[in-house]
Order: sequence, then C-alpha cells, then structure tokens
Amino acid sequence: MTSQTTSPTVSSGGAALRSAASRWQFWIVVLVIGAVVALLIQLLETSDTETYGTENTNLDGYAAVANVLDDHGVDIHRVYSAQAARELMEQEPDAGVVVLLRSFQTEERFTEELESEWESGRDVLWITDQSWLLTGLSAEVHSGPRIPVGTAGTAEVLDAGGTCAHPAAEAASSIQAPGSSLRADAGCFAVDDGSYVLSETSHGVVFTAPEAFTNQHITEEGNAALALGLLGAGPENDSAASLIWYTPSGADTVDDQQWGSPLDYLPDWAWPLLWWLVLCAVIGMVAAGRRYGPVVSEPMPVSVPAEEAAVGRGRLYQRANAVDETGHVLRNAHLLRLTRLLRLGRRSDAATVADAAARATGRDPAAVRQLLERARSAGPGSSGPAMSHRDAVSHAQALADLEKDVRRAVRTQRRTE
Amino acid sequence: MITFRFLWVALGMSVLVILIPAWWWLWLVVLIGIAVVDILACASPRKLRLVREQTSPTRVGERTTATTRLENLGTRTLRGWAKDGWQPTAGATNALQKVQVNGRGSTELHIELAPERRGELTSEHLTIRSLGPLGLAGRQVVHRLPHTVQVLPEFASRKHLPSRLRRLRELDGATAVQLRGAGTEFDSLRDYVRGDDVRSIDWRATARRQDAAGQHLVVRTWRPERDRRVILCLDSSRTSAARIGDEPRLDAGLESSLLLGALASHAGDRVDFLAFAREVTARASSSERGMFLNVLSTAASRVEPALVEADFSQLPAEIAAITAHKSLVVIFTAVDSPSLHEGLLPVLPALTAKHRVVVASVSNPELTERAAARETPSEVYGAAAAERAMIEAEAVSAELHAMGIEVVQAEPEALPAALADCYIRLKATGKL
Repeated sequence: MTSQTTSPTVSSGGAALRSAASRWQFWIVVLVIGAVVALLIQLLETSDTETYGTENTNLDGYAAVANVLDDHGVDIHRVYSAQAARELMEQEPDAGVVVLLRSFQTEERFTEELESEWESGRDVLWITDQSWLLTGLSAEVHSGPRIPVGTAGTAEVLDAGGTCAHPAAEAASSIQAPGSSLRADAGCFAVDDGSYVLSETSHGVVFTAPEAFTNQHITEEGNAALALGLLGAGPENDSAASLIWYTPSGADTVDDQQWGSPLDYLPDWAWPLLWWLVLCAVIGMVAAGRRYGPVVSEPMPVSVPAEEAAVGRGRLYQRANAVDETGHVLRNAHLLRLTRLLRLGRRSDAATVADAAARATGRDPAAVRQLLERARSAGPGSSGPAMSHRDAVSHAQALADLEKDVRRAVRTQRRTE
Repeated sequence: MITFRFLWVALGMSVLVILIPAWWWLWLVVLIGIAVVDILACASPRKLRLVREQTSPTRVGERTTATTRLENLGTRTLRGWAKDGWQPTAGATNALQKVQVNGRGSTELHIELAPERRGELTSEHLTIRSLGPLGLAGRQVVHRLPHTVQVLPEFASRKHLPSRLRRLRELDGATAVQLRGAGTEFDSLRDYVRGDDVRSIDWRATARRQDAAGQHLVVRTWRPERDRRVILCLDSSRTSAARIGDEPRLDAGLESSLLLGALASHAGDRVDFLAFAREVTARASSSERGMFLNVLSTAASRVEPALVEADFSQLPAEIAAITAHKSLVVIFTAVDSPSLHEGLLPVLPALTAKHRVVVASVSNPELTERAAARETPSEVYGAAAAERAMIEAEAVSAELHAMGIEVVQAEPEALPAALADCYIRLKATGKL
C-alpha cells in the first residue's frame, strides 16, 4: 500500500526506454541492416557512369584502357572545360591532348589553339562517334559512311590497309567496332574508297570509332594495341607521360565573358543566415508538430438511416418501370386511409369507398370510382394498357387530391355536427 | 520537446549570425546548449503521481467536472502543460491546461465536460509536458491512467412527467374501477358530481344520506390498483440501430422506457427493465436500492445497438424469471420490420396468455413525407415504396391488435408521452 501511494503513475525513464527498445526491436534491427546494406552498395558502386568515362567500369566505359595506361605510367587529367584544358596545356607542354566529343562541339578559339599546338608537334587525338561534330574543324572535313554492321549486330573487321602511315595502326593491323568514318585522302582502316576510321587532319589525328576502346570491345582484334598506341603508351614513344583528357561540356559556355551570377554579389553573411533560417524552420516544425500525447479515438455507434429500405424499393420500382405495380400500391394505400376516414367497415370494397368519397366531396361518383377502381381493371396481371410516366404522376396526384378533399369535407362535416 | 519560445530565440539569434557569420557553428552550439540546459533543469514529468477522482454520473446536455489530482513526488517545481485525453464527444472544453505543481506538493486539474453522448465516456491517458525554467524546452510523458464518466440518457421527456403524475393523482380515488371480485380496493364514498359513472352510485349509501336538504347521490370510489408489475423489454438489435431523424430508434425507446419507468414507479408499481438483442444486455429493477430513475438511467446508458437479429424466443423465459404474476409487458421494437413475423409474432401468444402486452414502436415521419411527394416519376415511385412500407406496418399492427395487444406507434418525440397515456388509460380502466 505504501509503495502504491508513493510510486508515480508512470514507469521511470530507464524502464520506459527499455520497453520502447523492446517494442521497436524489430524495426531497429531492420533499420540497422538497411543502413549497412546501403553503405555497402554505396562503397562498391563507382560514381563514374559517364559514357566513355575513364573510371566507368560498365560496358560503355574506358576504365580498362585507363588502368593499363596508368600501369604504363601515363597520368590522365580529365577536364570538362576549354579553360582548364588550356591551363593544363601550359603547365605540361609535353602532354598529349585527347578531345572526346560526345554532344558538344569545342569552341572555335580552342580549336585554333589546338591546330597551332598540333603544328608545333604536340599529340592531338580527336575521338568521336558523330563525325558532324568535326565539321567545325575545317572545310576539308567531310563525314563518311558508317562502319558496316553484320546481321548479328557485330561490326565488320577493318584492316589497316596499304595507305596507312600511322605506326599505332600498323601495329594493330585490324580493328572491330561500330562507328563512323571520315572522308580523307589517306588514312587507316578504310570503310570504303576514300573513307577512313583513323585519319589525319590539319588539327590532329581523328579516330571515329570510340566504341573500339570501351570495356566491351577493347579485346576485339587489334583494338587494344591501337588504343595503347594512340594514347601514348606504345612501345615506341615513352615520352608522353601524361594525357589531357578533354570532354567538351556545357561548362564551356559559361566562361568569364558571361555575366557574373547575382549570387556572387551577396554579402558574406547571406549564406550563413539562409542556413540559420532553414534551421529555424526546422525548429518551428518540430515545435508545432509535437502532439500532446497519443491521438484520441472515438468509438462510433452503429447507425443506419431508417428509410433506406423504402428508398431502395423505390429505386427498384423505377428500374423495373413498375408503373402498374406503383399505381396499385398507391390506390390500395389511399383506399385504406379513405376507409378509415369515412368510417366504413374494414372489409368494404373499393366501389363502396368511392361512392362514399364522392358523396362526401360532391364529386362525380363515376370519376371517383374510375380513379379508385383502376386497381381492378388495370392491376398487375391484367391486360390493360400500360400507363406512361406522365399518367402515373397525374394519377398519383389525383389520388392525393381526392384524399385531401375527403379529409377537408369530413373535418367540416364534423365541425358542423 | 521544444517550444515556440525556442523558435523565437533562434530567430533572434539570426542577428548574431548576421553580425559574425564566421561563428555560425558557435551560435548553433550555444542554441543547442541552452535547450539541453533547459531540458536537464525541468522537473521530471515521470516523478508525478496521478489520482483520478471518482466522477458522479451526469446526463447528456448537462455539464460536469472531471477532477484529477497531480502529486509531485520530486523536489523540483513542475511547470508546464497537462492535456487530458477525453474522447471528443465528452466535450472537454479545457482539456489542455497550464499546470504548476510545487515540489512534494499537489494540485488539482478540473476538466469541464459537456457530454454529447450517453454511455461510458473515457479519457485513456493524461499527458504531462514539463518545461524548464527558461520555457524553451522540456520533457513530455504520457500517464496511461483511465478516467471514466457515466453519462445517462438525456431524458428530455421528463417534462411530461408532472402532467402525467397529476393525471395519476386524479385517478387516485376519483375513478371507478371495474369491480372484479375482491381484487380491487374500495377506497371511500363521496358525493356524486357530474361526469361520474352512474354505475358507481351506491344506492344504499345514498338512501342512508337522505336528509332535509335534499337528495345526495353517493358514489363509491376505488383506489387504482397498486403493486402491479410493469416489465419494459427494449429490443437493442439491428432494427434499433436505424436512424430516424437525428437519433437511432433505440434512443426513442430509451426515452419512453425512462418516462414510463418513472411514472409507474411513482404510481407504486414494480418496474423491471431489460434490454436484449441475442441475450439480455442490461437490467434494472425498482426493487433495487436507490432511486429507481437513477438505477434505470444507469442501466439504460450502457445499451448500444448491436447489428444482430433479436432473439425474441427467450423473452417468455426471461419474463417468467422476473415474475410469475400477471403484469404489463411493454416491448419496444420496430413494428414495420418484416422480420417481426419470424421473431416476435410466434412468441406473443405465450406472453398474451398470461400478461397484458403493449408493443411500442417509433414510426418514421420521413416515410409520410416521402409518401406525400408526388411531383416527378422518381418521387411517385418513392411514394409507392413508402406507402407499401406503411401498409406492411399497418398489417403487422392489425395482426397484433387481433391478438389483443395494444400497439403504440408514434414519432420519436411523441412516443414517450403516447406510451405514458396508454399506461394511464390501462390503469384507469383497471386492465393491469
């Protein structure tokens, strides 16, 4: 009894925590396992999913080539803007330049710079699948036909050919990959007469089958030898110790000639203040969202609208177009009530009731009888003509009027008595 | 748990962020620090003992107060809020209250209730939110301690009670009762007044009263029968769940049984009440201790409609268990229900053989309205359906009449008075 009077009416904090932990045990375990799995997936997955990306290990990536190049001591610097490529080129005058065109053209100024670089002896390699991207290089460049693809989807094997002067192509001797070609006077891997996959232009060497160096196709024919030869890891030139791997992107269009972003002109307290206000919003949500205890429920009583059955029956009548049945029911109801109003016997027939009603109201007895006795002549089962909807409504209203008249007549009669 | 004051403080600190934006993290640490300090400094809402005070039963529409005592077992003063979790129909107007309980002290929480529903209304829990001295943050704990208030039916037909009681008193001594053997009690002799039944004139007494002043007719008066039994049987099956107007049919039955029960117990009859669906769900008897109206109200407040078919077959046995004497059996059910033919009608002969049976039923005013609406074809079809329902109800009630059973049918508001009048009429004519 003493313990009861002194103990609080709620369990202590530790006990509450323990019971909550045991109640939520399952979900806590699920949450922890989920977090571990998510972490593992995050760790195992490489972030590079870019097509022809040098760290992309998918089928369309260049990770295999890049790894081999790395083993040969070639550093690859990936850049996405002409400005960054230009800075790197200044830092490393010996580095080769690879321009991988995917969907953006290089800007004109940079193309001109590359032309001069190529003329001064730097290795410049253009790789692209879409040869129209190269038409900006110079007027002499025209795209050729695509590499023929067999019925099974595999591309034709292309031989280096007799006019080939590039050592890497000679070493590779043949390649197999889908791609396009470029019209040139001389080149390697001829698709047809005058179209070559590897050719030399005024801006550098152009290779138009980037699929050949992907993880999927690198092992076909001489693809690997060509890749290593072109990208500067071939046995003949050990000098090119690094590559500037430039992929033109949208970053090129934002250069210093553009307007500066308005965000750059904000005072330095603006961003901290913004984050602080976000924090305040979170505080507000937590403060407003904390409920005073659990939700209270209300046990609702059973309740059914009482006239539901009658309404449902009315709809059934209507769906069945039961005009005759409806009239029958209405006449019977009115007959019953008139019998009681006129104080006739329970078993009096319709004719008697009609006569009494006609007498009470002063109406034409034949008309009243016709109104009330239709039950006998056109009741269900009889072969009388069916009533239309309009007739049914007027009939029902006539019955109601008759009853109203009788009621009034009876009332005045009683008052006078 | 943090408060809006904490939000205002955080917003105020944004000035500091503007002044020295580099110290952003420091400001954050300061903000969190004051919240933690406040949480640690507040009185523990767990070191609190709740005592739910007993509430007295109340009626629907009346107001009551539910009291809970908060005893602080800790030494710190608890400041904050308390929220009593009354269900919405309990109509708690101040369920959320500011509280302050001194260390080792206690305080009382008064919750104003305006119940909208009869039955047992509960609050399952009381939530204590304890705030720190700065009022920025605190701790919240839910004490799961139920509190119940018994809400009795409204008994709006109470207003009919005085007039019906007066009628009973008029009956008392004024009415000639059919003389059947020695069963009815002779009360007194008095002078004849116009309107008295001529058959009640006691000619011998009249002959004795002749004096010089002239003739005085003397009539015998009889005391109305007392110590009769009235058994109220309330059908709480699926037909009672039907809503007529705003309330279920059951509520009209409850109102009527309350009025009739109060009236009959005042008239000196013994009243028993039972509610049943598949089995008896509530009972009350005027032989129990306490005021019968309260006993009956309490029992009636617990009756809820159940979606099952009523089992009338047990009714004779239940009534036989209550009394072996002739009594007035009032059955509250729905006469217009088609299932009455299978349920109630086969049972009635067993009851009418011994008792006087009255069947009370709520008629549906909406049916009459529907039957009168005849403007469009849809309305005419609806009117026919309503008329048909009324004809069926009429047929059942005619059948009941034929079995010698009184049928009282009225709209929900009129049923209690109509039933009370029926009872008085039966009593006046000595048919109990």
